Amino acid sequence: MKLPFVNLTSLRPKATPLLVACGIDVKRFWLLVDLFNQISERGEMMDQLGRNGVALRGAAIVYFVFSALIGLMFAMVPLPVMAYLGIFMAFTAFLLVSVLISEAGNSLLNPAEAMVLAHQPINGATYAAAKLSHLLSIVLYLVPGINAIPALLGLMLKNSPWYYPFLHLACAFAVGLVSALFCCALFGWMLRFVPVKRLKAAGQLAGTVPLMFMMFGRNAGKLFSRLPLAASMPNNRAILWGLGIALTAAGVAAVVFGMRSLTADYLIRVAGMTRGGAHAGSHTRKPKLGAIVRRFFGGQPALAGFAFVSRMMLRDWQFRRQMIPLLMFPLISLGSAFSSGWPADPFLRKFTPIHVMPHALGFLLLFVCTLMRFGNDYKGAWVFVSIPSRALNGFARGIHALLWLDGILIPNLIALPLLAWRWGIWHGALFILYSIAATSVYLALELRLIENVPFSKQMDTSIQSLTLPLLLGSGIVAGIAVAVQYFLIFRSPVVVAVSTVVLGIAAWFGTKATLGTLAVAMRYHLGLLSAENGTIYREIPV
Amino acid sequence: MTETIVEFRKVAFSYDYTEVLHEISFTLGRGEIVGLLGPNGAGKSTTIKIIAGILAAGSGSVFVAGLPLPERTVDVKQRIGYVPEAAALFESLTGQEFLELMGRLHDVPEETLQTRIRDILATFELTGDRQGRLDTYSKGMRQKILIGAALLHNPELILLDEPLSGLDVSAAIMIKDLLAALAADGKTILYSSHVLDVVEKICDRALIIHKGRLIAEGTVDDLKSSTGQSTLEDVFRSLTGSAGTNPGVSTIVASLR
Repeated sequence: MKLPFVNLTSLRPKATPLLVACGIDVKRFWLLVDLFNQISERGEMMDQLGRNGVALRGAAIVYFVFSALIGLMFAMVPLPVMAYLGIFMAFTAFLLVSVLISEAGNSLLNPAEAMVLAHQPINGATYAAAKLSHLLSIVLYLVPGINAIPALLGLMLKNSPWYYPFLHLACAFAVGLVSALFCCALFGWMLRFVPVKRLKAAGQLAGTVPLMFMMFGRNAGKLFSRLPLAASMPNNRAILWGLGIALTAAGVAAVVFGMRSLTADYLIRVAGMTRGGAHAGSHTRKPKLGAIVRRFFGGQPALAGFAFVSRMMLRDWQFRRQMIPLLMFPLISLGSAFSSGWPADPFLRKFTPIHVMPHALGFLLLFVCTLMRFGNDYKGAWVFVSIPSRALNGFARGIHALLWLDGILIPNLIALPLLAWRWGIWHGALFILYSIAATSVYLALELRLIENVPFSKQMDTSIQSLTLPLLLGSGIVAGIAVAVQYFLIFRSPVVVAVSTVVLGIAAWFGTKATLGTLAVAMRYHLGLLSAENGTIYREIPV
Repeated sequence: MTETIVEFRKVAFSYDYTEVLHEISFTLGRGEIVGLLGPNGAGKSTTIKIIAGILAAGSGSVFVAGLPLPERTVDVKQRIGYVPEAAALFESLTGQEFLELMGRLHDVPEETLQTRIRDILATFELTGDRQGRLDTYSKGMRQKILIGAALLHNPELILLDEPLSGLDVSAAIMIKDLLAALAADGKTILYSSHVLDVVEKICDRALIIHKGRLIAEGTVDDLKSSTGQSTLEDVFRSLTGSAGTNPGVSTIVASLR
């Protein structure tokens, strides 16, 4: 996909003074932009949203529909113009920062292309600017996607001026630009102060900041409102203006410092980043459940699947980058469920947050299965081409064993003594059995999403554009399931026991069918890899 | 007469519309080390991938240990060890974990597997690095891991595509000794390489492929005597038409001045 501004080659000379002022080597900058553009067109940078045309357009359309609905809602409730504008600017900033932090991290801390070019006479500023040029593309697509309809709907507001749509879009682009600069500066600060080995982990944590803000922002607001800040503020208008200007100047200085740090010696740090976190999690970890998996799930190939997937889930950059922010959702929803006190016994015919537990686990496994297809070292998939394909049957069972044991059985067994202590052994045990059976049905269905040998496909950011609809869709499904569970099943222990048996049988047969399909899908994918002349044998430069 | 392990009969293969193998025929006997030589793009790697069951021949027939390919690919893959040229790896795994993965996928019993891994790592002097992730390994260390992974399931046929790439002198000598010992133990080894000195020293026979055709086959001595050359390198140059200094060399030097 060509970046929109790159197509306007006639405008390139006009950008020269700005590039030169930023310390960028203009000739090499455009060479690199053209190179990344060319590589993107050949499908080699599908893991970067701003370079994946289909994914970017998909994300813009999803945000377009989503924000149009919100805009319509706010326009119907007659909000003051400034409040309406403020809400959409905050919404734009939140969505853009969420996407741009993740994208900047992926571009900067996963420096495959940089390793190839690190020995070329290119300065850090030039390389970083070219590498991050796709962030501008994201801003250019998503800002109109988020704001086009709300800008027009703004005309429906009371006392709205005729030029409101232009004002709205201009502010949105300014917010987009500031968000992009903020994200780049954030990584500049990290490059400056975080040890190279810890950069990847720090980048992954940075990706959770918008979600944490969303989850805890309200509580933080309450906390600040309790502080005597208003009382300690001076009344003098001039002092307030001075404070405002000083804070703005500090913000600008922080961004400038971050940008300078980012561009100063990026290419020198690339080798360290490639090996970043190399020793994290690589200590000897004999799979404790290995013997069980080998014995009951399909022999040595099952153990191979179990051990391979468990280690890659902990270490693969692309998986961790996507999964860590998503982990926040079920963790926080479970945390908030327990924050209002110990959940009541569900057999007492009262709604209790514990009803959510099986579905929260199913929700988590949905994203695990979706993201497990992709990996940073996808070119290593050739090893599966060289093995007897019947081993893939056992390998698939090993994957299921891992997800079932680690994602379903162990969390439920941990909860069992606590629930039994609070509700009595029978109610606790029955609920846990029901939870295991229900979540196993989710897993049986979700395993179909894996489609290929785990971690053996290049990350495709079009999956990111599906994240929001997937989250909403899963939330609705889980909501319906919780309602059915509460209104129909948890009416008597007998109904729960019968439902548990039915769900268990469904999970057994569903899993059996799914594992067969998964093994066939893996064989098919490996067949496609074999047919690609040489591409899977290319060495990743180290 | 030695037992035939690989039989390649009039095999042709095309990538899209480009035919890269033109009706090649040869056999490999048990316990033989056979060199597969040819310039870049001659079709060596394609030949190896067809024997490994990774690619299916376009026409002709291929048998490995008497089993037809691609019909019996699963059984054939259980009998071969394959070291590809410049292979990408799952960099997040440690050396030990990668070997365990490969052994388990070939269904090697766990105790045997752990013993073999321990011995392979010790022989390759990688015991101390076994818990290091592959992205921290040097090229030579990665190559040792790839060779070790190909041997774990005790294959009858070992396919090596530039196996000494990146290895230091002592490791290369050790690998050469290892190959000789494996051949003496009845393993068949197909060794593709550009390093002709090594092929001359360790191989019983050589196959020379040029532009997808088998242009010569025989023992190194036979090839030398039939072409009237004194070394395998000279045989290679004369058969592939690259005799003398390539005129392109002087062109490059001149253009750099």
